[in-house]
Amino acid sequence: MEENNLVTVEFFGLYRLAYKKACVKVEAKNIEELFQKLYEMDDVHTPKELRNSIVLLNGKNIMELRKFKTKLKPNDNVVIMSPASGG
Amino acid sequence: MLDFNEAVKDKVIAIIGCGGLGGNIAHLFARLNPKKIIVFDGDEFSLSNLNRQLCATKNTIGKKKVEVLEERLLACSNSEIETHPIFFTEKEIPLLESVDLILDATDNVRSRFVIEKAGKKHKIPVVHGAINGLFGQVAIIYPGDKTFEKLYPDKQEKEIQKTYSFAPSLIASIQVAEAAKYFAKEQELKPYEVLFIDMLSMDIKKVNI
Repeated sequence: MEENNLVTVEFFGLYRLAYKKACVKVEAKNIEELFQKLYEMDDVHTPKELRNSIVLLNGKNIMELRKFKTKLKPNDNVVIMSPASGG
Repeated sequence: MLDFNEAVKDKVIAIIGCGGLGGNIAHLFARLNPKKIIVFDGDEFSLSNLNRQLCATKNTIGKKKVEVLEERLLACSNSEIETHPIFFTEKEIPLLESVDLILDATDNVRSRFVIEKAGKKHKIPVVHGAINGLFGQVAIIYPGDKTFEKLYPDKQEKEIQKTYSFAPSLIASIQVAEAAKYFAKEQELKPYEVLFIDMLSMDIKKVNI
């Protein structure tokens, strides 16, 4: 694995609790592959479950980009967040 | 010099939900003395509310949340208080005709889409807040914005983690601050900006969703 192919993934909200870490570096070509790599790293969330998260790529919601086909470049920053819904 | 009392003195606000968030919001907003506060909640206090809901005491268990809240608010505010001991549904949207701003303090995704619709119908903003365990978020939904479609794309209810007294207090405080700043036209959150707060690590992110 080449170091410069890595993207930084930050977890926020319930995902931070689930993965028991705030940040991880993963090699992936796109968001879909990133979800699969995260599942291989820790099966706490399946790729299907991760599709219900809010995913920001360099501060932009991937829903405004190419959704789960959005391509990743070395040193990209991905944030995976869970919205709260209680009151 | 900012004067939030002046900014809200002629305003009517509605608080949907009088649980952890709503009870805190109502107490905080009442002390700003808006013209009128309208509250909705069909629930009664129960033992499980004691850990985080301001008006839940050993003496109020079994009583209607809005009735207990009304008594508390009248004791600390000059605002007129209007109570609705019912849950907010599509049927209640016309009741918000005179309202200038809605504070979302409900505890489920389904009701939030109804609240967003009410804001659009009456052309008024909704100050959204939600908590889950030690996490929470705040946003202002301007009329016509589809913020909830971005926050809850699957429209499914979420797994709820145990929460504690300080979590709704913090999120409610920020909601009231954003509402007051909205009325004062002062640096309030912009459309689709969401403030996410992790109280465990005290990591705060303002993101454009």
